[in-house]
Amino acid sequence: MFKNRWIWIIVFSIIFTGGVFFEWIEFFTGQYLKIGNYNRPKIGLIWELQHDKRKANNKLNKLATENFLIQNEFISFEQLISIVKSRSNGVTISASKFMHFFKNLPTFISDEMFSPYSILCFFCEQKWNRTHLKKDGNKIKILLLDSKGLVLAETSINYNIVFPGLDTNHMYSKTKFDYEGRLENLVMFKDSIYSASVFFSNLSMFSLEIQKKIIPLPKKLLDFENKLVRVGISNKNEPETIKIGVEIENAGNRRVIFFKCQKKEVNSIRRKIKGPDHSNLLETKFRIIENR
Amino acid sequence: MISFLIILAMIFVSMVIKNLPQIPSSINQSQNTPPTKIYSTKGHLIYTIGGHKKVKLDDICDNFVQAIVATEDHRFWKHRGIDKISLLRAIFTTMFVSQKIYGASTITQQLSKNLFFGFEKTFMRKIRELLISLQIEAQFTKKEILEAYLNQIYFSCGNYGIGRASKFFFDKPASNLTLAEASLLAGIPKSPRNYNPILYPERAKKRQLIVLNRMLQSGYITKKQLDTAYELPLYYQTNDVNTQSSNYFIDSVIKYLNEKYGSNTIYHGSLKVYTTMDIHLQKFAETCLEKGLQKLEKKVKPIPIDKIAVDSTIKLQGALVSIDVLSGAVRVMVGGRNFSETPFNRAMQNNRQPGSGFKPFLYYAAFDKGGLSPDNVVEDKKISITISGTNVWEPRNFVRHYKGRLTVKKAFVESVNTVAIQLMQRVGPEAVINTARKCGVFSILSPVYSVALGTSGVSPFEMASSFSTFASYGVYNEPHIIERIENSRGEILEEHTLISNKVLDPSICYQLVDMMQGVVDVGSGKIIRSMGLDIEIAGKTGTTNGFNDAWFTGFTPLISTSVWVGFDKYYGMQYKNGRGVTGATGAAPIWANYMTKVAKIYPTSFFKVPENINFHTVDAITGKKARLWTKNPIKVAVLKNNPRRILTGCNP
Repeated sequence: MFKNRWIWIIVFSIIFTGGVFFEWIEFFTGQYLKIGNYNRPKIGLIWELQHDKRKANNKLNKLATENFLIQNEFISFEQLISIVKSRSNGVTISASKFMHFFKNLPTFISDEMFSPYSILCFFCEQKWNRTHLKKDGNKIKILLLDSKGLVLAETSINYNIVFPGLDTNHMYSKTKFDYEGRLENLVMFKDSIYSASVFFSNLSMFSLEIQKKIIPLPKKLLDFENKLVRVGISNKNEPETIKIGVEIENAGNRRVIFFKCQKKEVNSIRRKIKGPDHSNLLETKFRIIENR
Repeated sequence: MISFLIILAMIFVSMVIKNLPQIPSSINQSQNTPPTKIYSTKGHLIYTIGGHKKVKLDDICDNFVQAIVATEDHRFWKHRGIDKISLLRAIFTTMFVSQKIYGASTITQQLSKNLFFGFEKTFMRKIRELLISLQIEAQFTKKEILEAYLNQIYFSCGNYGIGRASKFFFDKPASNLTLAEASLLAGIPKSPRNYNPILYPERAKKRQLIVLNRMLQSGYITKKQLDTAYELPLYYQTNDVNTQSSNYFIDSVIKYLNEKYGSNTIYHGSLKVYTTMDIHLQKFAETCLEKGLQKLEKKVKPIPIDKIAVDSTIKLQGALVSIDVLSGAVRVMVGGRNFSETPFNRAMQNNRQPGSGFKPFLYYAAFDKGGLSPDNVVEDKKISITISGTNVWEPRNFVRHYKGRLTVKKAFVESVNTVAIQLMQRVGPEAVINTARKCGVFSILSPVYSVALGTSGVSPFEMASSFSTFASYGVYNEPHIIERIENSRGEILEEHTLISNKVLDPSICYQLVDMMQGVVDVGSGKIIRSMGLDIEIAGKTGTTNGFNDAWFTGFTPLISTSVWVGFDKYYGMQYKNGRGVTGATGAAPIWANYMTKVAKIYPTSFFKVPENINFHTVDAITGKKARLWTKNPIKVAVLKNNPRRILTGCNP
């Protein structure tokens, strides 16, 4: 027993001394650990750091992707609203992108936001440059801005607005033109042709009821945005109605869409355009802002 | 028994091994991260957060490598992760020499600790650290290990890695360090806080000597080299972007980023943040405020509150904010004298009474809702207001006497309180508060008459922003400090959208601007003109009861600036001759000095007169058309077709 103990002590001493001087224990332990390395967990500061870095990059990439989607119209208005909800400083999109959303929304929602007549007016005047949407308490504020950031009109929509599953995408997209050519080629509009911006800025001063009687389907024109060039009011004497022609520039060609409108209301806008008290457009905008 | 012990040891080792962390294939893989960079409006880099640039071992001078090896682990090139001789000596010293603990961590062990385990001090952690060191030695070359180590050790002041440290302390790459510099830096990692050479140069120098001696013992240098290096004086540069930063502004930017993206994203996300700061104006504003306060401090003493002894250590404080009128971009924000002493941002967070500085909101409401005009005549007289049915409030003028009848413009220019209260009675507090809100004042404002005299606290930020609404004739541009944020690929994450909301009537704003020009030309702010500032400016002084606060807020057509001066603890400010410090004597000189510089940078422009404004020259007392013999003619801006009235005995 005693003899055995000494043997063990000698063996251990040799192992220890060998370890100290020849470092084979460290070498083999290191090599052994290296073999099983990839089966062990990725824990520790170096991994946490990488995880944090990955997390940060994912978060930023998500934001960048969202921005790309927003700016390239690859999202629905509903998705846009949910992104706005998640961002403290809101989202800015171009005027035409907002227009794309606006004209495809069901009328009962889009009319709650802005009058389509005001939108037409802004487009014809070519002042509307971009749209900013931001959280405002329990609502989403939508601001139509000019190129210098001046607010042209603003509105708020309910934070939890429900979008019905209607596909209205092509409701007005296949508008048929009634005439291929310019307004002056049509005798009935002779001497009654106005620039679209003057016509629509005057139109926006009337009440919605009258506006509807003058241009019954405004969304039909929104498809053409800033391609609306001129508006003609017919001189032809008819009992109840009167024809309005809207000249549109389309792929270099001029085409006209006709609207059959209420005579009384059309005459009042005609008077307003021709009249001495023709108000300037700036007043129109302020009125629009106040009405909202 | 022995078999049992061996089995037990094997179970123990297998358990320890099982929970060991995996070592990445490259030990340097997480070290190349660009920092989040914060830029001024003109693209100057003003601050960096996080980030790390790896320096190759070949690009680190031999002096430093030798110094660090000699100091931290002189047998580094020989051992396999564990320095057994040092370990035995450490065990012996710890066990047998009382009150002395001897460290034996090799460079590999330190790397293992820093990369995987942190600072937890347990027996198990030590075992695991040893095992990982052995694996690191088996997996990587000595050069790779040393390179990883030198790139992640901490050198104080937020500097990780030798590349960053040599740039920070000596403004040179790690390849160019001299022996003196290298030995000084090599001494820091043992205790970065204690051996910080900027804060504790003597301690750092002592530590340098230890490092040099270790190098001598290891045979890296001669005694002569040691002596030369030790005697060489060292100059620490302070050009690092983060030590130069304007911290109150940067702090606000970081707070915004933290709220929006989270600290982790800022630290690791390599963002590019473009702020609205004008770095030149910011520096100048900091200097102006400090010099102005130093000058004032020599002449001013604090007034004790309720006869309680004044805190003798208290310093006079101040804040300055400048905002671009046309965009709302905050160009300058100084929240106090020294961020590291008091990080409380007085420019944004302070809520101090603006005194008469609030009167423009009242006068706007009186013109807009009350139909008043600057040429109307009012009466400066003693007034009493019954509050809550019993208490009577008698507001007094700063000059303690009444001037009788005078025009509205003169009352404004001379900051007559009794007239302000009469106007308040006429329009009501709600209209005044509503005007302030439209201009961007968001602090709590009490709907009481005294709000007209500025008794509700606001911040200099709000004052500068709201006055810029007058400067832009009623267009409110939301103040902002960040223009754009990009990710590392340059994709825009957010961009400030300029939103200009027309909130006030432009013509009435002009009338107010004209009156505020009067304040600077002949009224309570005329000190500004006497200091030689002759550009087109308008503004209003503000002084509160007990001389607690001195304000001057004013603007050119392009930039709006607010200056506040006061004590943090609400002591009053009194000159040694007993007079109180006012907005005119305390804040206006700082404002004038600063705006002199602004005038050189921002082009001079003029307040454009709106079409429906007429100028009349009237008698300042009677408001009647001035004649050749009129003693006190005053030019007033009135709306065309505005009826002239005399207001007496205003009632709510």
